[in-house]
Amino acid sequence: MFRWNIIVTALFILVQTVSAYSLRGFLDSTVSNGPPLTFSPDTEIILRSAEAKYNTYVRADGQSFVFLNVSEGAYALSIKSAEHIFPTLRVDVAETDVEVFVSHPGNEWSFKGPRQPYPIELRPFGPAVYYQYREGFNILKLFKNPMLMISLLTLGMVFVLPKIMDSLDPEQLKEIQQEQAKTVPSALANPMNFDVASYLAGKSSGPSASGSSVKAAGSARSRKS
Amino acid sequence: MHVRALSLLLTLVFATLVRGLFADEAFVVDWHVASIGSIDRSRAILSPDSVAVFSESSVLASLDPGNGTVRWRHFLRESAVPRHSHLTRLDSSAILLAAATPADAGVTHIAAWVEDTGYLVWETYLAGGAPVGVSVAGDVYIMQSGGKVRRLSHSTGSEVWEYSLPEGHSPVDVVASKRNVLVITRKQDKGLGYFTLNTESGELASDSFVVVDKNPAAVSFLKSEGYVADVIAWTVPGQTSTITIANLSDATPSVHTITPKHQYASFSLTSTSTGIVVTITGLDGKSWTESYSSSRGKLTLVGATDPTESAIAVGDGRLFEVSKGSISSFTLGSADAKAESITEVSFPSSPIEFVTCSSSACIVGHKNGEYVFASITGHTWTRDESVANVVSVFLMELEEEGERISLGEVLFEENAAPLQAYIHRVKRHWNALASLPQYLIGFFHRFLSGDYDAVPIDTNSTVSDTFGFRKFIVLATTKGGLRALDTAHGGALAWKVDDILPSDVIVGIVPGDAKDKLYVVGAFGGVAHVNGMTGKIITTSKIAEIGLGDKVESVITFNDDGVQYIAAWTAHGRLHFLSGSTPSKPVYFSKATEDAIAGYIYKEDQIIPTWKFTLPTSSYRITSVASRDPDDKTVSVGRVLGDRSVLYKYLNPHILAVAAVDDATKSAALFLIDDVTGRLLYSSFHDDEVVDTAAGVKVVVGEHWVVYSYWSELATRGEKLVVLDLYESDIRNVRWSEGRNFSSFTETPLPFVQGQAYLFPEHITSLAVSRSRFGITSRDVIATLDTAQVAVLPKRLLDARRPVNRDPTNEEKEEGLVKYDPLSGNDKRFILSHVYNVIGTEKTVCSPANLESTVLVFSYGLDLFFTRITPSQPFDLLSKSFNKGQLLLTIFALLVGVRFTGPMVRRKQLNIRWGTQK
Repeated sequence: MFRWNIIVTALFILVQTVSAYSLRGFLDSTVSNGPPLTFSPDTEIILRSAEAKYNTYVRADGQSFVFLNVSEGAYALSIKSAEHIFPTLRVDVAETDVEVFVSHPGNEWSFKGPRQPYPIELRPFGPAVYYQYREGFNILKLFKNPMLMISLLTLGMVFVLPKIMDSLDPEQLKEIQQEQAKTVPSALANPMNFDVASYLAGKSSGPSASGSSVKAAGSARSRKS
Repeated sequence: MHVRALSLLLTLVFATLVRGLFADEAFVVDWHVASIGSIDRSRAILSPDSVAVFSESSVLASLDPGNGTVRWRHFLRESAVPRHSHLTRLDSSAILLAAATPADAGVTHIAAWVEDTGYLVWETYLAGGAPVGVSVAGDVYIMQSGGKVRRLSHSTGSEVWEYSLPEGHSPVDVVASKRNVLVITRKQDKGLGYFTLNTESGELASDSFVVVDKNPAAVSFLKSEGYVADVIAWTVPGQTSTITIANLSDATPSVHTITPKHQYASFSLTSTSTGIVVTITGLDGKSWTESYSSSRGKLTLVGATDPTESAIAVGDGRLFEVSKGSISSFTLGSADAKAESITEVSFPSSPIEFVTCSSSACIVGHKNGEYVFASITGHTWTRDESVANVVSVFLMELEEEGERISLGEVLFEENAAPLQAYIHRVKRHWNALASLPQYLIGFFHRFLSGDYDAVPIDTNSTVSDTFGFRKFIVLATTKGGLRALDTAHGGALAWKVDDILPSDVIVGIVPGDAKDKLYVVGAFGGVAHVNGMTGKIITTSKIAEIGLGDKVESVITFNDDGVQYIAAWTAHGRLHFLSGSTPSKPVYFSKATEDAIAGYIYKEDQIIPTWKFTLPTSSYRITSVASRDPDDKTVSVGRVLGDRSVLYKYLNPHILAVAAVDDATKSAALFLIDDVTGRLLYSSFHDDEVVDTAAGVKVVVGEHWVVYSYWSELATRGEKLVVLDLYESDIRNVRWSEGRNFSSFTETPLPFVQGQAYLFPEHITSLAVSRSRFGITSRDVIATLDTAQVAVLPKRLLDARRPVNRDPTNEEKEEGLVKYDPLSGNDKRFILSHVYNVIGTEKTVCSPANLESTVLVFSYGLDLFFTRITPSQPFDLLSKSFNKGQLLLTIFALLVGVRFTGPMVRRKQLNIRWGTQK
């Protein structure tokens, strides 16, 4: 086991030494669910430092790329793609070694992010979203609006409550009214007693006793029936 | 007070910063023309099921032979030089491009591409000079200018062997066959000859240099097209009656001298199964072919066609003849002169530049940049590549829609006797009735869809739509023509003119004195006056007094008291006024050279230099110069701050922003200069940042601000976008201009400049600023990116007053300021061009629509891209998501509510009156 480790490490070092000037990598197309991603032939891979710039395109397998004859230096590896958003990596090419780091835009160049494996793996963050979508009219959404729900509820109460009050036992009614008078002195503050008709008729039920107003509404209704 | 109220309102209304393109507007409001650039015959491969091209604009493209659309293309500006490139077929599915790299001409980049998809098969870089010859015989054999011959593996591109030419030999070409590799060279004392290499080992098969022509001057080397035999031909300068041909496919190559019927100007070779065909163009411009059969080392003439005025080309075993309206194909070598097939083609009237054919189709290249494809089955298409090389652009406003009543008619109706005027009006209305049905149809269309775009506009008309979204984009091309594209119909061609200034090169187009007229100015003094609606040339003239060896460099327009003067500025420093008259008052202008800016005054027919601004050190060079669009309008003279105080804008119309870079120290600098007096208003230097000087500094001047950008490596790498806001004073409510018009001659203090830098993730290749009709709408900065995209950056985001390292106070919030974030444009919704691959755009022009909210944006360079933007949201336009159904439903619901509550209220009131209720 130990020996295997040594061999693998040796091989890895060998591979790295050999490919010090020829960078290899691939675009990771795996997705946790669904079909794998595809990368269009327009996808350009750019390796840039202050001194040099290299660019290459995706190979015929649709995801791998190779940079040839890369000289030593610290490079930013970016992907030009219209479909996917890729991270930018920092690739340090030394004489014997290639180191890959995550690079965060806006940070100082000397600041290195977490180390990444080599050969370079680039997994897109996600698809590039260029569009904004309009919110179409949706009756369900309209009713999900809390304001509308409150107003509908209040409206319902305006019609339903007087009937409930009417159907109540007079003694019970009195009890409730007394209790209400204790807690809420103003009739206006009590939406249950709000009389929509008198409000619209321009005569607010005002600070009068809540009981009479309810009674009046009740009597109006009873007369009708 | 007015100013404040308006600014405040605008700030509050347009508070959103990111506004992406709506998905339903993509591909509707915008369009894109994917170009490839001029095609050269030697870099076009035509086969029955594909067309592959490496263009003069460094675009490697594969076209669909069915309709001419681009299947894929790569913009190889940074890896291949078209002039030193060879495009060949690697095998049935891949093409091979070998080219010198732009960075280092001593390095050849050679790459194989999958022809159907555009993926890379392999690529490699070879030191040893530019490619001289490429030959494919299974593997790839390449000869470089440094005298190296290499064999590269067909499948991986790795080197199999390398051979260096002996001393004294200069490389000419390489011809590979299955048996051997012939390395053709020229030796100064011996002449033209070849070595034979062993295909497997790359060693000399025999030491001898076989001389085929002792004349060391033998040039115009030509290799045969076709893959049957390897034939080369060459000529000796001044000798136009004989051609020397060597057939290299024989075991011992044989050399022959043929004498065409007439003296020739040019020729090409095609090999056939039995011999070769020479296509010759004579000194008189007539073309003919001569067929030779090759047997037992002899070349014998077997047939020739009659010289013809038409262009001819030989495809695989066929002769194609291009005549006025058709292409005819003939069987090669048959004495029978009857055409096998005739394809009707409508060719442009422009002269033919080249014809190249496969066995079944031809591409005919025209001087005006149009390429016509025609197959023997009668299938044709045309690509107009002249729009890939644009010199100058003008966005032409079209006529107003609606009743076209002339001024004369209005005056008549106002001034004539009442009865006559009345009759005239009734008549006019009667005539107008004819368009009533169309109007009604349009009205209902609009009413039902709520969409003005749904109302069809006749593509042939020159009428603008209601909102002014339709304009003609007039392009002047390097091919000497004009093209007018219709913005409302996906860039469809409205009209075109070719060769508008014969034997001249267009320098610029400028709007003329009338609204629909244009001036086209050429470098050699040619001037054409053109109707911009129809493309008809009204007059052509020539600037007579232009000196010998002098050239028009640019066109300048002066506006003097509402009168526009157009002048051509020449290399010798002269001004030539086009419209005849010259300005009565002195006019000021400035001209930039590589390292200086000079100011001039034009007074009484004389040009007097007034000032000169030289860069701080000689290693600086100017990369761009910008000034404010003279048509840009200012609505408010101040910027209202949260505490209702005002910072007055520095509204100097003569600000000239000069951006320069220093290649030696890798630094950048920006100078703001007064164009009239040459006074330096502001300067900033970016010294310790390692600026990408090759990309230069891009600069744009807006209302009272300047935005410039450059790529640098330090302190953090990225494109730095710097905004400078210029105010009259740093003290609030203080202004020295006091409402007077700005004059550069009054003693004024320097502007107070507030600056801020932002970081942009991509390389910016150019900047532009939007301009709305009345200047009320806020402004957007439009940037073309080297990721083949066009981005928009709201100026409100690029604000120098955004609070740094703290949240905005309530007063700042009222101003619409958000906390400073150095990273700008990270959101993909800033990309205007969405999924389009807009390669090679170098410039952007903006033009207002009739709607104040909307600005038309047009980017050009190689590709063309058009869209319209609403920097402050489409506030004067009903949104597409506006729901008529919802509105009607709401009204209906209210009606129902009224129906229910009405009786209740009435009853209540009645009860109150009767006193039955309190």
